[in-house]
Order: sequence, then C-alpha cells, then structure tokens
Amino acid sequence: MPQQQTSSPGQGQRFDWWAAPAAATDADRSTAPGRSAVPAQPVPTRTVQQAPVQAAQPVAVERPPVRAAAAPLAEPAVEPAAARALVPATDSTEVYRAVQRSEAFQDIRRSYRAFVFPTSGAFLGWYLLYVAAQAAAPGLMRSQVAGPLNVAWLLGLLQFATTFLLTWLYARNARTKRDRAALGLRWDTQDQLR
Amino acid sequence: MTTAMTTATPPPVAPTGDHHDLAIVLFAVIVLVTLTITLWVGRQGSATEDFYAGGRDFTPLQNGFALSGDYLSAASFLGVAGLIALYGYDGVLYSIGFLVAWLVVLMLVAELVRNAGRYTLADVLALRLRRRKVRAAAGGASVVVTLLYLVAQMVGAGSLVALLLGTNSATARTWTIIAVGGLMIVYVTIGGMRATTWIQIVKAFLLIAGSVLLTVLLLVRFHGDVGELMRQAAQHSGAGPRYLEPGLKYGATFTSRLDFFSLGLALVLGTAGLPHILSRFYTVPTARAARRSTMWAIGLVGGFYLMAIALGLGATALVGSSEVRHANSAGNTAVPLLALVLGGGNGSTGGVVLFALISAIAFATILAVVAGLTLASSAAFAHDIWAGAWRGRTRRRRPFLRRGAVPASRSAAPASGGVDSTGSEQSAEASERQEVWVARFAAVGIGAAAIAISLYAQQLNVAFLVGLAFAVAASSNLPVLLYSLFWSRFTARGAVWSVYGGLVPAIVLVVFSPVVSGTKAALFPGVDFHWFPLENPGLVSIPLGFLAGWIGTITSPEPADTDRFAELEVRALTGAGAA
Repeated sequence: MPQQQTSSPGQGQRFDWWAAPAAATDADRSTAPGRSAVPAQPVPTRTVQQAPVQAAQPVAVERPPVRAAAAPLAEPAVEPAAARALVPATDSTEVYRAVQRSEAFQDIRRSYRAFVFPTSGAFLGWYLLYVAAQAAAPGLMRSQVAGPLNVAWLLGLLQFATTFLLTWLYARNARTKRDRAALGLRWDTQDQLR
Repeated sequence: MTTAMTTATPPPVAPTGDHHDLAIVLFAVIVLVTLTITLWVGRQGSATEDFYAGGRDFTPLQNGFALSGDYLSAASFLGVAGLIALYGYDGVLYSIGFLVAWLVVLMLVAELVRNAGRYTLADVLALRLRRRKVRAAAGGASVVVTLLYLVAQMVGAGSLVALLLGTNSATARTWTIIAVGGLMIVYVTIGGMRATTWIQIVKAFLLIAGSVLLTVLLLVRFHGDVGELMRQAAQHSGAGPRYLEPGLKYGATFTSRLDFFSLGLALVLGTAGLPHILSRFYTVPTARAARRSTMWAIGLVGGFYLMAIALGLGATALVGSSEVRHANSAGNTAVPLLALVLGGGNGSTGGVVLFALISAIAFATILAVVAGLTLASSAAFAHDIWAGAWRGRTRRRRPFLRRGAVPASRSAAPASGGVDSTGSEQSAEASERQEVWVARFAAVGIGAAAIAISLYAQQLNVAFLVGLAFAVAASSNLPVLLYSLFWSRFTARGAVWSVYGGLVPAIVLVVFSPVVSGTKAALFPGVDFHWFPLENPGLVSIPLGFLAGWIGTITSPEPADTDRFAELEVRALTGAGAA
C-alpha cells in the first residue's frame, strides 16, 4: 500500500537530530495503544460523532473516493495521495475536529495545561510579590541576612534560581509527558489531511 | 534599561587619548564583518521563507544565541550595568524583570506560536480569526512597538557611539545615527532574516565572551570574594550601605515605587509580545526546537545579567559612582570605564585594548538589535498590513508540509488543499515574491522614518521609549495572543478590541504623563498638560487590553468559530500542518 510506505519517514528526514518520527510513532503505539486511536478516516459530515476508535489501526483505513471528480489526473484507487491533496477545506476541518475530540489529543492538552497554568500563575505571583515588596515593605527588604546580603538581594538571587529551575522543570515535563504523543499525533493527523 | 539610554551627555569620558583610535579600527572591523555576512548569506535564497524566517533551518543553539542577541540591546549591556553602578540594588531589579519575562515566552508562547504561525504574530491570530481588520490591527500594533523601540535604540546609539569615540559633537551624533540606520537597512534588505540571524549570533557570542572576560578579570582582582566586592562597591558609591538596599532610585515617593511596579509588570509581560522576539521562533524547524532555543536564551540571558550585576558592582568599587556619573549621567560608560581599569588603567596597553574591545562589542550590539527590529517591522508591514489586510488577497491555505519534505511519489500533487489549480498556485507564488519586495521597500521606508525621527528627537529625552515599547507590547499584543491560543470563545471583535484597547490607552496615558510634559526632564519641558502620575502606563493599560478583549468577545454578535479553534489548537499543540 502506498500509504504505509510513505506515511511518515519522508518528513522525518529533516529532523534527524531528534526522535526519528517513525520510531516515535511506533513506540507510542506499542506502549499506549489507546493513545494513537485517532480516527484515520475523516468524518464526512459534522453530525457523526467520532469517538476514539478502539481499534488501533490509524493509517490503514482507505479513504473513500469522495472528491474523485476534482482530481482528473489521479484515479483515487491508484493514487489516493493525489486525491487527498485536492479535497476542499471542509474535510480538513473535520479532521481537526476529530483529532481535537480524540482521547490522545485531550491527554496532550491536559498535561500541557495542568503544568503550564499553575506554574505561570505561581511564577508571575512570586515575581509581582517580589516587586511589590519594594514598594510595600521596604523595611523588611532592608534587613540583613549575612554579610553584605540583605533580604532584597536574597530574594533577587532566588528569582534567578527559580527561573532556571522552572525552565528545567518545564522542559522535563514536556519531554516526558507530551513530546512523544504529540509527535505521533502530528504524523497521524497529517496522514489524514493528505 | 529605559533610563539608561538617556541622551543627555555631559563631558566625554574622563580619560581621553589613544584608546579611541583603536576603538575606531575595531568599529570598522565590525562593520566589515557584518557586511560580509550579509552579502555572503544573502545569496543563499530569496524566497519568502528565506526573507522572513531564514529558511527555518537554524539549530536551537544558534537560535538561542540569536534570541539573546535580539534581546540584549546595548541598553542592557551598558545600561543595566550602569544603573547598578549608580543605584546599586535598584539596578538589579531591572535585570530580574527582563529575565523572568522569558518564562512567559517559554511556557505560554514559544512552542504554540511556532506551530500555529508562519512569519509574524498576526499569522497566529489569522489562523482562527480570518478577518482583514484583525490582521491590520495586529500588524499595526507590531509596527508601533518596533518603531518605538527602534527610535529609542537609534537615539541612544547616536550619543553612545559618540561617547565611546570620545567626541561630544552634534555632527558626530548625527552621522552615527545616519550610518547605523543605513547599515541596518542594508542588512535587512539584502540579507533578510538569515543574515540578521547570523549577525545576532556573532554579536551575542561577542557580548557573552566580553562579559565573561571582564567578570573573570574582576573576580580575580577580588580573589573571588563577592562579599568584599559588594562591600567595596557600597564604600565607593557615595551612598554607603543604602547602595545595597532598595530605594536609592525608586524609593523617594509612593508614586515612584508604584511607577516601578508598573514598569516591572510591563517588562515581565511585554517580552512575550515583542514582534522581533516572536518572529525568531519561525527560524527553527519545529516547536521542540523553539523550546530548546528558548532554554538556551534563558541560560544566556540569565548568565549575562548575573555578570552584568557583578560588572556594575565592580564599576562602582573600582571606578566609583561619582566618576561614572561624571562620564555619563545615565551610567552608560560604566562598563567601558571598568574595562579600562581592569586592563591596567588609562595609558596602559591592556586598558586601551580592553576599552576598545568593549566599545566595539557595544557597537555590534547596537547594529544587531536595530537590524532585528527593522526586519520585524517590515515583516509586519508587508505580510500583515499590505498583503494580509490592504491588498486583501484571500488567504491561501498553506501547505501542510514543506515542499522539500514531501516524498517524491506525492510531490506531483499540489501540496495544498485550498488551491484550485496550478495556475492560481503560480500566481500565489508570484504574489509572495511581490510581498518580499514590498517588505524590502518597507525596510527602507521604516529605516528612513526611524532615521528622520531619531535625528529630530536626538536632543530630546527619549529614555522612556523602551519602557513604553514593552508596555504597548504587553497591552496590545500579549492579550490578543493569549486569548487566541487559549480561549475557545474568542471572536474577531474581541481581537480587534483587545489590540486597540491596549494600544490606545498606553499611548494616551504616556502623552499625558510626566515624561511628555510638566517636568524638567520631559519631552516638552516648557508646557504642562499631564494628569497621569506614572511614567510607565503598563499598570493601567495592560489590564485594559485584557478587559477590552473580554468585553469585545462577550458582546460579539457572532459566535466564535469553533472549527477554526480546533484547527489552531491541534496545530499549536501537535505541530500538525505547521509551516
């Protein structure tokens, strides 16, 4: 099948300095079969509810030759890719909606927001508190801690430390929690869009 | 940073002499190297993607250096260290705001913008809100932000370069502004994003290397005893222990402390809305690369500011606050003066070489930052205002894959879903070529406008402009960006209201603030029509920007387009279909 030959390694060649896409998708599928259960077949109408399909066979489903007329030089049965490239935008909208509803995407979104929203609130609050303290409690900020260091310097250096720490934590969270799943979903989605 | 670029220039650097000759030679070398880069790199491609995004094939490390190069202007190299030299702890406060801002960029903006956009900030909005007026508003705000920043940098550059060259004549300043402006136009029009990025990388490397060199020399001088450095700095500051406490600059009244809070808010939220920073994320291939380049930038910027704190303290300890203030009232020459002392003092070969080296790095910094700003500004004009809004071409659905990445068996098919025939594909490519030419002309026009405004404004105190640029970016660009990325019910009206609801109050409040009238240091010292007490409008205008976007959305007659939001969200988080 042409699809399986060309599904994703082609694009992966550009990014060989990070995870090889084919390997990543495979690994993702093998470790978490439910995750990549994005409906491979674009939903023809908006009313059809496309819940995450339990069958983990995302790429293998042949797409119905919906817009064969629009592709005069490509017969859908022979070259589905060409037909796919010419389908109008409404279909890609359905693909995006279906992916958005899928469990795999919801997982990615949840893990992103669950980390980023509380953390952003925390560091913005901590920074604004620190700046506000200069205006509100100058006496406290002046009190000596050790040697020439006072509370203000200590908190300032702590701001540097927390910034570096949060950068590292965010990168670790992204790397372990969502990078692989997002990459798998990217190729799956792009396969459907073509 | 803001007050650092004060243009009031008292008598030139105290130690005059041959160290300026070597500086001139090194300045010439910098110009030669950057021009060579531009001509060399500029030949590598002239497609739209090359001009706006440098071909999207920079590595995270390269882009991390370029990001910090774009961000660390001469104002932060010389200005923050100078502020620390003059005001001690209150100068440190600045650097922290500039650094923490990067967490907003890293967590909320970098990856999503990389995936959802193409060349500019407005691309992200246009993905879900396909309205010309949305594009026009966002593009216009981007032009305003970059132009404010640009004028501040160029006026500062005029006085700074004159200062480093040891002259104080108005002619020298004028020609410096014209030369800097002319160079930046050449970089951008010939080299586009690729050359600009390489100039940033070279400059950032020089800047970091120079700072490391000075910091190491300084720490060797104090035998690694930072406590002793702080004590000596306090001793030579003229303020005693108060030098190390908050309040030396911003402690006088409650208003001035509130003003600093307002500036702090603008700094921490404004970075994520700066167009020249956002467009950097399109120069790497993936969102993951965007994240990693932001991490590099955080490391470099954080390390740089830690060194700037040490250098500021060192300048006070070894040169003395009064000497620094005598050379330049804003402290801009603190670091070069420190270099002179660390090299062995005035007249010694080491001192001369080090002074010239640091001056040349500051000059490279100025050139790189103005080039980045001009490019972002011309991209916003050509891509958003001209092509997106004014010409009003129907937005072409972009290819889901880059053409080079399409496997051979499929490359025969048109890569995009919305193009009807190969004919319109060709005309779309023609119009993209046209757009790049418009961007080049826009760079010339914007550069010329910046030169003209800077020449007119060079006698004025424009130090507030950088703070204002951050405030406008935080009030008009950030709310609309965050709403677009995270709020499913956001509408076109909300977007337009959000942009103007932040932009207009920010500008109006500054016009009626003490920086424009009513004080001795104001833009128009002779008249007084100010009623807004703060110098920085961020405290009021940033909440107004968010509020306007919210009100615009809930009063919107049309519902939000959830299909578009689905596309934006899937693209932003997975990278599916990203350019």
